[in-house]
Amino acid sequence: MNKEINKKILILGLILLIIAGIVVVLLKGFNVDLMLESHEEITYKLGKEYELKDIENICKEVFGNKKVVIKEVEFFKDAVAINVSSATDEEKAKLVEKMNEKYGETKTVEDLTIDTIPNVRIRDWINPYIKPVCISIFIILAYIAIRFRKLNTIKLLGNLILKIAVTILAILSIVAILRIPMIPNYITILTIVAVAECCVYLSKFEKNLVEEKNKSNKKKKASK
Amino acid sequence: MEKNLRKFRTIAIILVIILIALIAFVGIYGKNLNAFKNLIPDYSFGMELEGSRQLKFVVDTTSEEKEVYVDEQGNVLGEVKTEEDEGVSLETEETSEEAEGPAEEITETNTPSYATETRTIKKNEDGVLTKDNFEKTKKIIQTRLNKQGISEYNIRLDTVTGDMVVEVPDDENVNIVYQLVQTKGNIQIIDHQTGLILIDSSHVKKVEAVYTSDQSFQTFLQVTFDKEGAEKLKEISNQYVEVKDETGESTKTYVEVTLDGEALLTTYFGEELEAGIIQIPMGEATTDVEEFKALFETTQYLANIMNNGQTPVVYSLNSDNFLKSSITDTQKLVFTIILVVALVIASIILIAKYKVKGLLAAISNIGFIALTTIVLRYTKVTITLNSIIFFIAMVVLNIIFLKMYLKNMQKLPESEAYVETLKHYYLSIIPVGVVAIIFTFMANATISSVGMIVFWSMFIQVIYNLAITRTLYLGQNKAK
Repeated sequence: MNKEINKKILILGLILLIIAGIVVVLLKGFNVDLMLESHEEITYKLGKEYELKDIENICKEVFGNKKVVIKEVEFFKDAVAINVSSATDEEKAKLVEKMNEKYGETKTVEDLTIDTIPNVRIRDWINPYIKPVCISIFIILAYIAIRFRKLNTIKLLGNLILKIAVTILAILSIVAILRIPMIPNYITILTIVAVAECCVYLSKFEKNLVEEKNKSNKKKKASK
Repeated sequence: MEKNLRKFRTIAIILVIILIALIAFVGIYGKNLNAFKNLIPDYSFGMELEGSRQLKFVVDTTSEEKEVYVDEQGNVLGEVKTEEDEGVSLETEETSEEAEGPAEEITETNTPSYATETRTIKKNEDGVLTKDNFEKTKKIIQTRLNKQGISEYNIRLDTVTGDMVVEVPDDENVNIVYQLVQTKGNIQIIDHQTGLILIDSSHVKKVEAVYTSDQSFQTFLQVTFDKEGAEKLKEISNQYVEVKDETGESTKTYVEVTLDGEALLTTYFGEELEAGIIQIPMGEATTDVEEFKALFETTQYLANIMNNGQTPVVYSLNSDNFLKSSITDTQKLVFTIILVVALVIASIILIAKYKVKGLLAAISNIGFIALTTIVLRYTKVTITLNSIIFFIAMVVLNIIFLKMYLKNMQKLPESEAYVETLKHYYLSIIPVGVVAIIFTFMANATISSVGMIVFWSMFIQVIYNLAITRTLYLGQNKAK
């Protein structure tokens, strides 16, 4: 009885979570990682070695809570690319001032190379996965349908697809609600989750199949 | 006696595992010049971890004043050849020399009645610079990169300005990427003397890189035309020939095969071309295999460019920077420490639950990780963040396998326990095997590396557990 109530609570919780996730996605979309969305890239050529920590501290002072990703440019560690969602003229001036102060330079904003880096479309990083994922799903489902044909195949497959879909939607909802930055690696994580869940169910189906075989053997013996 | 033998075997296997672990995590050092160098190959990292080349392309805004032939509707029919082009203007009736061959006198035979006018030819006409054309160009470039086997790249397109940022791994393919993005792909056959377009790219059906190998290798760019193009080619092949007059003096009229205005070949025809196919020799015939390979690769990428349509927009390179990975060494260290701690915790759990057998399982698991990493280095699998995630999953699966084996050994004799574990485990992880095989054959490096990591991990797991793990427990578990 308790198990039944717990199951119902779990289903209700998952439905609410997915609805909340859908609402967040519809209203605000996913929180895409800075390097994947359109941003500004400020390339600062120092001409001398620097510590990333120092640049990070300067960026924190200049850009406050804005998303910033710092990358070393070229091999000599004498230039840095500061990726920021957007930079105002004031922030650019402040950045130059702080950098000059730290590294004893006399640069101006005009000395910086500022480029607008366009976004990477979500569909561009999802597209390559569509073909392999679809082929894999087809083969796995075909295998299950053949291997467990003695069990109720349609119900079995329906249940499996539904449960995996709910798990994936629940994870995506959590990502959307908690505003965790979306990165392409989530596709891999979701694939692992889906495959792992599939393996767990496959293991259960194998047990059910053995039980079914035992039952039919017993029946055969009894009829003899 | 049997007990001693078992002890000896266990110690020997543990020593083998320690040796594998040392090779994997420390390396084998040999003298290379004056320094010691690890003889085990390095990992091949993807651009997420290794860094990438960031190529910024902008819409080409250059223009040139050119004298062109125009028809009654004002359509451009070709560029009037100047002396610099080594051709002959229709008006001037000057002589020309074969672009690639020996100097020979050429007389002009065609006198088309087209008007000429001076026009400003822009690389990109204003009407071309639309969002749709930017998108179309991006798609063509994506196809070219895929067909070229550039397995890892990102293309970012600014649909307002048309600017394009292409991120690729920092390897020998970067120069090819330049060409794949910047080449429009406009192949034409023109009259070498006048500059008139004889066949344009709309009649090109297929372009291939082919070669002949008799006593030496000769690479050709083979262009196949559609029905209309084939008819035109037949006509041209009868027209642009060597003609000898009564005195025996020969006169040759030449055609020029061009790609984006650059001559690929200047020739005349020795026979009628009926099949609608023209073979353009690329470079000289060679007996050097390496030289041939390089030439054939170049021809292949030219064919790739021409086969996938012309880009509506022409780009020029604005900047090229190498950007290091945003994942710092400190972050990598922290991540490694977390993994090691997780592995230690899993080992402690195994030991606490299964005592000595648990300890042996933990040691065996380390050997499995070590051996897999060695194989991944030798097989040059590209390591990406995705494949690392999958590798961790495979290690977790191996721990699950060991746990199942230990559990089965509690109720069954060792050999039966192993067979039972194998049966149950591998029947349950069939989806993992399917993903491994399908993903391995994908062109995208991020996906294929996942497939390869899973494939090699599964392969090693089967062999390693049969040869090492099972032998570790041989004779330790008598039938109950």
